Amino acid sequence: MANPISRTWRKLFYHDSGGYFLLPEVDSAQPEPMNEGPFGDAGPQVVGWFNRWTYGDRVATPLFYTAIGVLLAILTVLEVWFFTLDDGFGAFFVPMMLLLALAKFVIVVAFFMHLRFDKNLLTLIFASGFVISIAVFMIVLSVQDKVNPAPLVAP
Amino acid sequence: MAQATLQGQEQHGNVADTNTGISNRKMLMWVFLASDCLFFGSFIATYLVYRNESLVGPYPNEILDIPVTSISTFVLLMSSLAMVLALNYAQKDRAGLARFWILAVAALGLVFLGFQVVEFTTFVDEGLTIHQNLFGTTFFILTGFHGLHVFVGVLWLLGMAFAHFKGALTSRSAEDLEMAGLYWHFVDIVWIVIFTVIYLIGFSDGEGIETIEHAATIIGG
Repeated sequence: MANPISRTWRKLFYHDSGGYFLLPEVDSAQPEPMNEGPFGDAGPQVVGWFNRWTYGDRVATPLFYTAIGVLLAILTVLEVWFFTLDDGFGAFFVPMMLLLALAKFVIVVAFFMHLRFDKNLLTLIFASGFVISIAVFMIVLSVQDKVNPAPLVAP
Repeated sequence: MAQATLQGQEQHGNVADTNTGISNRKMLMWVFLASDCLFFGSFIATYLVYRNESLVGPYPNEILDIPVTSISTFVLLMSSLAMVLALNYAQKDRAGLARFWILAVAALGLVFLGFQVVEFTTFVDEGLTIHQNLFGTTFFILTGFHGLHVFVGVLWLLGMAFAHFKGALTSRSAEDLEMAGLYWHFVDIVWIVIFTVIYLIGFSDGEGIETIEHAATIIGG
């Protein structure tokens, strides 16, 4: 590198600005800036709280399971209460019921069936079966008019 | 965090000497549950396909008893709580408490089955049989198979409780109980869906107007 031919070669063909075009230092140039993301540094904190509350890194206690049981009972009471309302929620009644059922489903699977604490592979196995069954469900519902074009007539 | 997670998994008995770190029995159980999703998913889809297609009564809005079914739903949910408590105590080598909660689960399961027997008997008395109309067929098949699952679960749990009655229920054998627990919780989540879709959402189903008009056209024609 020290010989003049090599130096000339580099001057001609290498993009070496010799520090002339150095960019100014900005936050994004720092390693793992804390304010990366739309909510600043709130994300990791919220994840930490969620992990602590849901025993993501420890073994859940009977008290925790009891709290989950109470939550499930409250959701069931809400479901039945919404059902008894005269006006109901109109067009939102069915989505509301399905959302509540989905919440109960996920809570039981995550905490009572321990998928929250278990290896992700088990979640993948169960989720794949669930997704396939939903797909079959949707296909059957979407082709029902073709399968059963005319209603069965009573004898 | 990773160390704590590993410790947690060890205390749950979740680290097995296999490639995946999951015991083969547990893996098989989850595969079975995933396939059972398809089983019940098909029955629920069939119920919805034939929803409002019944030409003769009794119809859902005439016969379903939501208050009673709400109580039986609550009973099944609480049995799930009892099941997870039983497993928790078994993993902590507290066999006495574990056995108590196992028997509580079985008792609650029997109460649920009692509700179902009363419901079915009432329906038959009011004229709804499995071949009365499409609602009867799809309803009895779906809830009947669910009841059969509950019955198998109760037998399984009673068998476990009595087999372990001599104090053999320890953290070493907790995986046996975990398998029964997974099955029981699955039965619970299936009922969560059935209760919402068939009872709460399907309660308003009566005579399908389009069906009646269509049938009248066919009969008249």
